[in-house]
Amino acid sequence: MSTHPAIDDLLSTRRLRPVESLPWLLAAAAYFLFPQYLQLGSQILIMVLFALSFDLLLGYGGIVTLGHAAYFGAGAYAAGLMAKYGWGEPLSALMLSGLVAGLLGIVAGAVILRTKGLALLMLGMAVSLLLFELANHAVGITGGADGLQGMSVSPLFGHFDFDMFGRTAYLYTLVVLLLAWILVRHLVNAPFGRSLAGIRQNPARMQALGVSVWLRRLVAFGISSFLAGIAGALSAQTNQFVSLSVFSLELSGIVIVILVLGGVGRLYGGFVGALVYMVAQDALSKDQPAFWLFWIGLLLILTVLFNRGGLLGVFDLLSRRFKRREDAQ
Amino acid sequence: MDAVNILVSIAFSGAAYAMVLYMTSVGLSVTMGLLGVANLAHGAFAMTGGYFLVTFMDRFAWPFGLAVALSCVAVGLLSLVLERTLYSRVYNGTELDQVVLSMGLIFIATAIAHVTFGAQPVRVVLPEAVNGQLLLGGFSFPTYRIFLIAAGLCVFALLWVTIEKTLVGARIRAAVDNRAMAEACGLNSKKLFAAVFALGSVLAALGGSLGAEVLAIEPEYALKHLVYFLIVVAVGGLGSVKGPFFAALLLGIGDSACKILAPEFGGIFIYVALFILLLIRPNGLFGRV
Amino acid sequence: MTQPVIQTKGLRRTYGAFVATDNVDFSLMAGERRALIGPNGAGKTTFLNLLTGQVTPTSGSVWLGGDDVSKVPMHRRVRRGVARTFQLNTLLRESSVLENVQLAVLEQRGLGGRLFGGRGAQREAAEKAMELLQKLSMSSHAARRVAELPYGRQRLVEIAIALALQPKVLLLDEPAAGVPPADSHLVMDTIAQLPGDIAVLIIEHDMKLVFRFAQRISVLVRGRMLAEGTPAEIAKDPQVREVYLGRSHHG
Repeated sequence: MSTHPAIDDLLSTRRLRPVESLPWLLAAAAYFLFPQYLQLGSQILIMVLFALSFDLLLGYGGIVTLGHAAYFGAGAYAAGLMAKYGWGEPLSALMLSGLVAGLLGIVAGAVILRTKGLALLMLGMAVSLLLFELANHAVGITGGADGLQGMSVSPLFGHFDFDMFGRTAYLYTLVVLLLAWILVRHLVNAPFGRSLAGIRQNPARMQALGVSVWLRRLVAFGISSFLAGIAGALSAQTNQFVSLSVFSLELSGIVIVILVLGGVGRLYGGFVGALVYMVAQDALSKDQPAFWLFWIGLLLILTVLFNRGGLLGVFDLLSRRFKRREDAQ
Repeated sequence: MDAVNILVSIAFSGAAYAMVLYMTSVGLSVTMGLLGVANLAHGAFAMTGGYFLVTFMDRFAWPFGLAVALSCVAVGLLSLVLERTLYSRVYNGTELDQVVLSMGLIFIATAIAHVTFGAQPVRVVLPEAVNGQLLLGGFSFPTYRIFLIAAGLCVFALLWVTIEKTLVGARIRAAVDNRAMAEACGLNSKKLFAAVFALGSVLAALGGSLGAEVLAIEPEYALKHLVYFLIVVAVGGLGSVKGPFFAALLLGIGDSACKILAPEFGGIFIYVALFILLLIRPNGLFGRV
Repeated sequence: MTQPVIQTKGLRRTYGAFVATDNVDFSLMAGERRALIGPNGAGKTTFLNLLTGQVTPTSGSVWLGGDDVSKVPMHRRVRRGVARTFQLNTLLRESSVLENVQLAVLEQRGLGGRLFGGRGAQREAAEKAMELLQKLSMSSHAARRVAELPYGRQRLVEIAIALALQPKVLLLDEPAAGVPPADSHLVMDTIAQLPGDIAVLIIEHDMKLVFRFAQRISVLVRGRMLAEGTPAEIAKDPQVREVYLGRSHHG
């Protein structure tokens, strides 16, 4: 049975394109090519996951909030506390931490999503700031400003030790990221994801279709915070340390910067953005923190004014020009 | 110290802090209400006012009053330039665009301040008239704090009269309520927006420079106090002049009270209160939008 | 006697001292073609919003079939069969025409929120959407982004979406508004060919469209239902003539 090209077009976004294997090939290559940078590599992968989780909320859901670190931190402390108090098995701790963060997300989101605009932004921030203060004060549990120490993470599958070279950590993080990516990619193309994108474009229209906008956004919020929690838990497990900064506004700000510079709502914006940001930060910011801040600020402004699609947007533009030249020849 | 002393202390230092918060934030409330622009960089205008003040007083040895006035003018002009070149481009953009633009501006302002003035807070030398103690009814108050409270009240009164009672104010209110309609009635919104934006920034500069001893002028200023400015505006209500006044008082006095009575829970109290307040009244106490 | 598909009883909506809707009794039967007319500011869109649930009544009630839905939120009323189009296009401008309609089909089938296993459903919904577009002679535009379409065709997409919801009641808010005269026949033809079993209420200023389409006309003035009757009756009604008719309107 032949189908209309328009229908095929619409459904084609689900199909995997060869270029989508690129990030994984690169990540695998890095393992062999840069064995001395695997620690950094893990942190980059964790940031990618964090950005991916936030992209679901911001890029696809259109929910602008400034406190996503709340869920990263919740996952981090959950995993940290589990490792400190006897639950060393990493995989189950990872899942549980994600669930804790996800649950927090659903509870907070149910409340936050009833508002919009500045109130939404503020309430999102308030959750992360509140958690920051709570963690700061509960010194007995969290270690306060000194951070959570004394974590002991058992070897993965009882065999692979989290050594100081970071090899286990890197592969562990990479696989978790891969699984998370598969999930998000699927969701984004599923009816849920498409309707979420519709809500982002025009909530009134979706409501007029009979959609409970609040509920659908809440589901997105829950999944997003679950994944953020997983990222936080990974951070705790690979560093064997959790500091208060996991709840900080700075972290929430960094993930927005990463996404915007990489490209919001494009699934891979976080990949590109996190890689570029973390590598650049590692190389540049230590000597001249002020300059670093300046350039980031400038890039953000330029992105908003001229290139809303971020780095991926630039790629798109270039590849379209390239194709046009090819067609013309 | 007995209870009355403590209460007076709390009320007083809280009120002074509140007035600084008010002066710096009221401009943000009006701009956000009128322009719909989420301007997270508002605090940077306050900070710039403070830095201009210090520069004018230290480098050119101008007296305090003159230096404050000129800082406000300088920041006002600067904000006009920024409004025309940057902010006006995102009036019709998404909320994310506005947030990202203002984030970029905060970062740049912070970086420039860091490079130009160093990481340490700069000291403002207050004139003799304001520095000292005043004796009232058996209590001794720092004159500076009284001055701040007076200044805050003046600003409030002036704004309230302007917005509620004058033609200009009526135009602003009309534009906040229904921009398309106001434009259809012949309102030149471009000029009005620029003027309001400048006004907001001038007020921020005033708050920043006058309040330099309460909120220290340092590169991290805009980021450090961002949350408080936003809380004042969110709780007070966008587009309102009264709202931030009462919100700032609530926040200022509440903060002082917590610092003195229950230092453990200060931060937590504010965020819980914010949560509850915004849930009951998402548009703030006096929100128009 | 069959029940009205949608009905209001003593419906009232005030904003402070301003009365937007003043004690309106209204009922619409299945298959009926009704036009709602009235001068600007009469409260027609507010009335529509009360029917859809976007606005809650100050007093009085709205009924769907035999059920009081006055407190039912908008998105649930849609699922019960009330669909509307908007006076200003409310479409997903960056998405294709096909996707706009496909999403509506998915929602109508209760599959819009599917997290897993939606592949087949998406294909079927796309095919159903295409059928609908073919009926409206819009299938050649299916792949185009809504933002690229001329305004008149966008209005048709609005109607297609509403139809995809398989409503019992279709509320059209000035479907011909803003459509250039050259394209207005598209809208008129589409309205003329709406399924016979659904009840249609159309708010319009274009008298040509009203008299061509309506079996009955309701006249709303200052929130109050001034008159109701066949086009002939309304045209002769002295009150109506005084308030409203007497000028010929063209879109």
